[in-house]
Order: sequence, then C-alpha cells, then structure tokens
Amino acid sequence: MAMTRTSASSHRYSVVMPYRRPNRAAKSVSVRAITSLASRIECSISQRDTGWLQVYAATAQEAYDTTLMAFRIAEDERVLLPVMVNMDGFLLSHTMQDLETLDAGGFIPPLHLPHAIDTAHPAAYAPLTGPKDYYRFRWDMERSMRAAREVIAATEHAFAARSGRSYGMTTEYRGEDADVLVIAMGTLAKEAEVAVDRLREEGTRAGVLRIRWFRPFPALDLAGREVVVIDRDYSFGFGGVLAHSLRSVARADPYSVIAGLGGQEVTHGDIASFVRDRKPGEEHWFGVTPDV
Amino acid sequence: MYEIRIHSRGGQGGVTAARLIATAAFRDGKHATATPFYGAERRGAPIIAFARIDEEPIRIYSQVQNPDLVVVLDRTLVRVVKVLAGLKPHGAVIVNSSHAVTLEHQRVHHVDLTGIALAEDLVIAGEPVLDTPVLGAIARLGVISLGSATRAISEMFPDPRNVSAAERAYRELVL
Repeated sequence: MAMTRTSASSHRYSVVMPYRRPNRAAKSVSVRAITSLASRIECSISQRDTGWLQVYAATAQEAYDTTLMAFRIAEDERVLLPVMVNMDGFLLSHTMQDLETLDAGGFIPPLHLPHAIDTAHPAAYAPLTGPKDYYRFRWDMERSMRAAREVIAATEHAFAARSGRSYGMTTEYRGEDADVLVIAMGTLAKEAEVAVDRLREEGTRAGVLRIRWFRPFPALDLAGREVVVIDRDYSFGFGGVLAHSLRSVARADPYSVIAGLGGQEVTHGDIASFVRDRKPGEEHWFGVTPDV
Repeated sequence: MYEIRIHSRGGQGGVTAARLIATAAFRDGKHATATPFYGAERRGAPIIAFARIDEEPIRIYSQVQNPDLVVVLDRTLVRVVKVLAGLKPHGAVIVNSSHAVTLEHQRVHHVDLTGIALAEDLVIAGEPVLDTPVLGAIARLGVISLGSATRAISEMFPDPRNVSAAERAYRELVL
C-alpha cells in the first residue's frame, strides 16, 4: 500500500502515472495508492477519467475519516483501485480546525492482494499491455468501479458504527422539503449551508446537496427540484463539470455557476445571491463583468 | 460566532497568533478555526489572518468580513491598510503600541507587545516575538481564558518566556 500526499502542481507533474496505476494495480503488482490531495479542484477533476476513485472532503474531520475509509475501500478485493481523497487547497488544507482522532486498530483488514509478487511462484509482469489484453484491463477497472459503490456503502456503515460519524455518497442539508437545491463539492457546499439558513429566513425553501464521492458518481434523484450548481472547475469549450454531470445523470436543467476558481473568495452571502438570481439553464461566471 | 482579524507584517507571527487563538478556544471547550489569507509570502508585507470561535461547529471558510475584534501587531500598518474595515459597531481593537492610539476618532486598546518581548528577551532572528504575548491581551478581553491561552502557548512553544510575556500583556493591556 502506498500513500501519497500531494498538492495541485506536483499532482499535475505526475499526470502520466495516474492513468497507468489503476491498470497495473487492478491485476498485477502491489501498487495500491491513496492520494490525499490538497488542490485546486480543477486539478483533480482533470484526473476524473483515470480510473481512480475520487472523494471530496468538506472538513478536516471528514478528510481524516475518509482517508481511513479509503484504505479499506481501495484494498477490498472487489475494488483494488486507487482512491484520491481531495481537500480544497488552502481553504481546507490550511484552515486549522478541531479534529477527533480515532483508534483505527483493526478497521483496515490485513492486505491481501490476489496477484501479489510471490517469489515461490515467479511470473513476468509486463510493463506494457498490447491491444489484445488492454481492453480487458480497462473493462476490469470499470467492473471494479461499479462494485465500489457497494463497498463504499459497507465501509461507511462500518465506520459509522465505530466512530458515530457518517457521510455517504452525498450529504444533504435541509434538503427534505427544499424547492431549490444548491449542489456543490467540498468547502463550498459547507459554506452553502449558511447561505441556505439565511434563504430559509427569507422564505425560500432551499437546501444543500453535497456531492462527496465524484467517482464513482452517485445516483441522484432530484425529484424535479430546481438546482443551482456551483463548479469550482471548468471544461473549456464545454461547461462546468458538475453541471454537466447533473444534466446527464439527473436530467436536471441547472443554473450553472462557475465560482471559486483558484481560491476566488466566495462567501455564503454570494451563494445566497446565486440562489436568489438563479436562471435555470443558464451559466454564470461569478465576478466576471463585461470589462473583465 | 466571535470573529477575529489579525493584521501583521510577514514574519511577525500573525498567522501563528491565529492558530494559538483557535487552540486556546478549543481548550476552552469551543469550536474554533484559524485561517491565514495566503498570497505570496513576503517578509515585511501586510498579512491578514483570521480566527473564528463558536459554540457550534464552524461552517464558514470565507474571509471574516465583520470582525468582533481586530488585532494590529504592527502599528505602522494603520497608515497603509484599512484595519477597521467591516468592524462590528461594538467591536474591539488591540494595537501593539507603547502609547495611546486613536483610529478614526476612536480610542482603541493598546499594549506594548514589542517592549514586552524585548524585556523578556523574546527575540528570534533579531525580531521581537509578538504572536505569543498578544494571546494575553486577547485573553484580557475575555475572548479566550488566560489558562487556555498559556496552555496553547506552552504546547506550541515550550520556552517559558512566551508564557511570561503573555501574562504580562494580559496585565498591561490598556483598556
């Protein structure tokens, strides 16, 4: 098991390796990886098709808890894919918060790799896979990714039993009776909770849906509610990545806000304004005016 | 929620002071966060850092807009930075100064942190240490307890002169 802690720029320098790692990890040597990434979300989103599981924390406690869970999920024989635990760079990585540590003894079972190197049974491990086999490895990754949903649920359940803290694929705040949902990831979604409290005082029934696991992407039922989605990323020539995910997975027609890029200041007051000024189907770049 | 903004110059310990405040508040049994505002770190450049204290878990990550308390570790900053920006109507201000300070026609609290650091021989790389003594002044306003402040300081900086300086700032803050 390897654990790497990195930041945005160094992660981007390693951009070739994340694509190779799951492929080899799933079927051959003992390369397991948990990356705890403090970054611009743009950097991790750009890695979304590498075959790594991706999860985004909103508090230091959650980053800690999720890292423990990530080991167990990554090492599960049904998964055997690397997990990237993401923290908003600076906003979360450099904010000092209270944290409850946990005696994690026994929570992560002993590692058993079905294809670990065994000198009693020597084998060749090819660094290169030809077209004859490559697609099978790629399909195997997708099979693992599909199985990961169940493993994540079971792991979160086991973690909750031990710690009393539970998260899930998504977390919701005042969403039950909401007419409009703010959907975001990481610290932005935490700040959005404060915006929702204020909007409710004004008479707007708003809620927050935080996407925690981004790969595998959660199944979402938005039940016809209006959506304001905040992307701290952008796919140039296309749109906000989360906005597009909601369009395709949940058939939503969101008001797509692009905000917080590179640490741009976004307050709970700003988020409340996004909801007040929402225009379903449109895209809004926060802070950009005609003269920018 | 009680919100604090600290103005200092790079190298004076504003970021460390915010971390000490959050640690002390945590020792008081409260939730707390400390956040530096990062640009390019430069010694001597104006720096801001924030601390928040609440009975409930803190969900806000954006910068403090309306502080209850403003702390100025370097008196010369008041000429180049709007240190009172957004201060709450009954908000407090502590300025590191050996003599009385008036900002925007308002008398503010002062304490000679530099003098205290020099008297305690708290000098690192030729600069007086301000981040530990200021905790005492903040404790005097009741934001954190003096006991938790000195505990937070000694956990991070075992040299006992840091705690003596904080206790002295507690006594010497001019209200």
